[in-house]
Amino acid sequence: MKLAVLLSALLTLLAPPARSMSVVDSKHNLSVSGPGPYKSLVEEEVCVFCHTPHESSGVGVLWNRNESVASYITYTSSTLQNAPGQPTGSSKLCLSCHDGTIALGEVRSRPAPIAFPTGLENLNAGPAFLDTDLQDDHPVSMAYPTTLPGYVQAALLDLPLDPAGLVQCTSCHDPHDDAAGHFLRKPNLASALCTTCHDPVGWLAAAHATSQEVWDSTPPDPWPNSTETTVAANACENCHSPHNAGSSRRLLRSDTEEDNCLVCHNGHVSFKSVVADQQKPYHHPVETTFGVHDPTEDSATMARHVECVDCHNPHAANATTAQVPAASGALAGVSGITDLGTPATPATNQYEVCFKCHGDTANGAAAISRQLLQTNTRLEFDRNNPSFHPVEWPGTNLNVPSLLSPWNTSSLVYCTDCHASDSGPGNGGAGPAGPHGSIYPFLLEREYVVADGTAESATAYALCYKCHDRTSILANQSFPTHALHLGVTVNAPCSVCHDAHGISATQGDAAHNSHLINFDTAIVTPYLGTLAFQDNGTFAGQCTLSCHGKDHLPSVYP
Amino acid sequence: MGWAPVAALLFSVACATVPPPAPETVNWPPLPQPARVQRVGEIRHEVDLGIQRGWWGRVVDTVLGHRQESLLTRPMGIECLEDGRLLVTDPGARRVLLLDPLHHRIQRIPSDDHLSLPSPIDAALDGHGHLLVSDSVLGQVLRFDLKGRSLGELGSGGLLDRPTGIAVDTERDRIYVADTTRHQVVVFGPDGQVVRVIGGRGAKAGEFNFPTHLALDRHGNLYVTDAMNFRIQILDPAGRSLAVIGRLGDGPGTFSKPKGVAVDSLDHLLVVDALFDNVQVLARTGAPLLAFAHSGSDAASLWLPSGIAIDAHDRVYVADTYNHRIQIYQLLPEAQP
Repeated sequence: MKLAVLLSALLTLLAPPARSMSVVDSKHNLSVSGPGPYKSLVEEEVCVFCHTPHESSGVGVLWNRNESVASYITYTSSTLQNAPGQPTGSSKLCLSCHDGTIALGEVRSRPAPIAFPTGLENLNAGPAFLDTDLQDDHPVSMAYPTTLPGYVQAALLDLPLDPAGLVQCTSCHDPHDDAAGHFLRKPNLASALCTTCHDPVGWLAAAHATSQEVWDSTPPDPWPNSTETTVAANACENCHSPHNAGSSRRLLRSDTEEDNCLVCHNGHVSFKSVVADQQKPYHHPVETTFGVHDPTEDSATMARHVECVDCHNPHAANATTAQVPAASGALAGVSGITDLGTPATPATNQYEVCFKCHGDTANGAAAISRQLLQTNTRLEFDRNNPSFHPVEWPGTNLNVPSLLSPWNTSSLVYCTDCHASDSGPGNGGAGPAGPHGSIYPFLLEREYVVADGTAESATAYALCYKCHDRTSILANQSFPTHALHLGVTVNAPCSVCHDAHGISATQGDAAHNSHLINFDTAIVTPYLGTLAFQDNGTFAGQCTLSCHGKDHLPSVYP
Repeated sequence: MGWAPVAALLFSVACATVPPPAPETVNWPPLPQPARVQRVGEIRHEVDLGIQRGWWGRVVDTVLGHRQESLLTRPMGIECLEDGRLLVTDPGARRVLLLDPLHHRIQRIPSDDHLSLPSPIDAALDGHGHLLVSDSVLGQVLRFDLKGRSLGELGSGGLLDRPTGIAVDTERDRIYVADTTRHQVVVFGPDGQVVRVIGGRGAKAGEFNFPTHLALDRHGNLYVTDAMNFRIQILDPAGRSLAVIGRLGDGPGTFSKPKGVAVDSLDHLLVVDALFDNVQVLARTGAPLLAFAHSGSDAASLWLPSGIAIDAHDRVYVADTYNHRIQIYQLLPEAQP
C-alpha cells in the first residue's frame, strides 16, 4: 500500500507539466510584425485583433443626435433570439474572422470526393443537402443537454461552457494557446476531446477505438487531415469531421454513407477487403441508396434500403466471437426483429438483424416458384413449422443420417453459414466473414445450382454438401431414390423438392411438408390435379406428381 | 358528384395566389428625426423574387403543406448589376447565385450540379459580360458566363494567395482583387495581366493588414476594407493613398470587424461591421453620420453581416449572413419628413 502511494507520487512528479503557449507566439498574433521571433512589440497590439477596446470617438453622429455616444458592442445579448445556426457569444467573435477572408472558415477534410480506383462509389462533388441548419461544422451556441448519452455534469467537464452555460467554439478551442495544435484545449489523440462530451454505448471496447491497424499507403488516403497513423489514434475522426464535414448529417466525412466505411475496409487499412466483396455480382446493394437511411428509422415502415450501418454499429462493433445463434461482436449494438416480430434493441441473435429487412418487410419476388410461396424468412424459420433449417431452434427431424460432423440434429446454424462471401473464412478464403457479396446467386457461400437438368457433382451442390454428406445421400441412406433423382437419368437439383429455408406452419403441415419438401412448380407439375408429398414415417412416404414426363401415381417408398 | 369538391380545391389553388405579407419597414433615425435610411424588404425565399411555384406545385403545396426552403445558406458577397439583378456569393451553399427579381429568375453558378466552389467570397461582372468569382480556398478568381458555365481562371499560377474582395472598373477596364494573406490589392488589366500591385503589409497609409472587401466610386477611386488595421483606405486609380478613415473602437466612427464597404450617390461611405451587426454611414471625411441595424433576426437587425452593395437608385443590399437573407434598405433624400 505504501509502495503504491510512493510510486504514484513519483509518477506525478515525473509527469510533464501542462504545456501552454503565449498568444504572441501563435497564429492569432495578427500584428504587422507577424508571428515568429520579434524584438519589440507592444503587448496590447496583439490583443486588439479580437478584444475591441472601448473607444468612444467623443463626436456624436451627425444624423442622429438622439443616439448616445455609447458603444455598439453588447456583451449581454448572448441569448438574443437563439436559433439553430445562430452563433452567439464567443463563437460570434471567432466567426467574424473565420469566414474565409481573414481566416479560413473550415478545415478542409477532403477537397475532392473519395476516388476509389475501381470507380465503385458515387462521386458527388457538391453538398447534397442544403440544410438551412448550415451544419457541416460542429454546432455551437447550444446548451449542453442533459439528455446526451453519457452526460457528464458540466462542472466535472474539463472543457468549459460559456458563462451562459452554452457550448461555444471556446469549449474545444483556446484562442490564446496553440500548444496542442489547432488551438485545441487538449490534444485530440484517440479523440479525447470528442469523448469528453460524447460517450456512445460500447465505444471503449469497440474496434474503432482500439484497433492498431495502419494504412499501407495505397490510395485513397483515409486520414488526409490527420497526423495520427492508427485507427485507434484517429478514433472519432475516422468517420467524423468536426468542421466542414462532407455530410451535414452527423458530421460524417462523406455524404455517401458507405464511403465512410469503405475508405478503410478495402484491405489497405483493414485486414480484409469488404470492397472486393461489394463488387461481386450478388451483394448487399449499399451503393443504390443515398440519403435514405436514418438512425431513428423503424424497420417496419422505412423506405427499403441497405447501408453498412443497417447491420453494423461503428461505435460498438468489436472482434468478439459468439456461439450460434448469438450475434458476434461485429453486429454489436444493432437493432433487429425477433422471431416473434417484435423489435430487439439491440439484437442479440444474428438472425434478428437479418429479419429487419428479410422478414415481415421482405417484398421481392420469390426466387423459385414453389407450391407454398413464402418470402418472409421470419415465418420460414419459425420453430413451430413442420420443417426448417435450424436457425432459430433445433430442427424437427431427428433422423438425418447425412449430417457431417460437427453438425447433428440438435445443432443450430447461422444465416451466414449459407449466405456469405465465397472468399470468406467459411469457404476457406482470406476475405471477410459476412454476407457482403458473393459470386454465387442468392449471396451464397458456395455453389447451389437450381436449374433442372444439372449434372450432379460435388461442386454443383457444394452448399448442401457443406453440412450434408454427399456419400450418404448418393448411398440412399435416407430417401431410397436420392441417387436416382440426382443421377444422370433425371439430373434433378436439390431445390426441385427441398425448400432451403423452411415451410411456414401457416401454409404447410407435418404430413406434407416435413423434410423441407415444397416442390418447385416450374419443374414439378400435378398428376391429375394433385401435387403432394405425404410423410408416412421414418424413411417412408409417397409422392403424387408428374415430373420429366414420369407420373408418380403416387410413387411410394421404401 | 365526387368531382365538385376536388374541382373547387384545384380552382381555388390555381386562381387564388396568396401574396407574401408586405415587408416590415423600419426607419433610421427613429422619430421624431427625419428618416434617412429605411429598411424596405428582404430576400430570403424564391417568392421574394416573385417566383411562384407552378400550378401543380401549388396544388401539392395546398394538399401537403410546403416548407419554404431558404434560397441562401450563408450569403457573403453582393454585387448590383443592371436591371435590378443581384450577384450573391454563398459559401455555405458553395455556389454563387444571379438573382433577377424583374424577370423572376435565378441562375446558379456554376450551372453544373457536380461542381461546387469551396469558398466563394465575392463576385463581380467584368466589362465583357463575364462573371468573376473569388474563391479564398481555391486561391483563384474564376470566370463564368452568365449561364454559369466555367470559362477559366484569372490570376492563376501563384499570382493570388487568398483572393477575397473584387471590384471592376469598367471605364478603365481594370479588375481589382484583394489578396488578404499577401496584404495587397492586385490590379489586372483586360487580358488578365497584372497592371499593378498596391500595398504591402504595414500600418502606414497605402499599406494594409489583411485587406478584405473592395468598392469603387464613380471617380474610379478604390475603397479598401483594411480589416486588421481597423480602417477603410481610399486610393486613387493610380493606387496613391487619398484618405484613411476610421480606427479601432466600439463607438461611432470606429470599427471592430469591418466587412463590406460601399459608396452611395452622395459619396457617403457605408461600412458593414460584423461585430457591431450594423452599417455605419460616414462622410467622405470620416465623420460618422448614422448607424443602422443592430444584433438580431428581425426586420431591424443583422447577424454577422458581410457584403454590401448599392445600386444606382441608392438602394442598399446587405448580405445578412447568419440570418440567411439579404436585407434591403433605401437611402432617402435630404429632409424626408
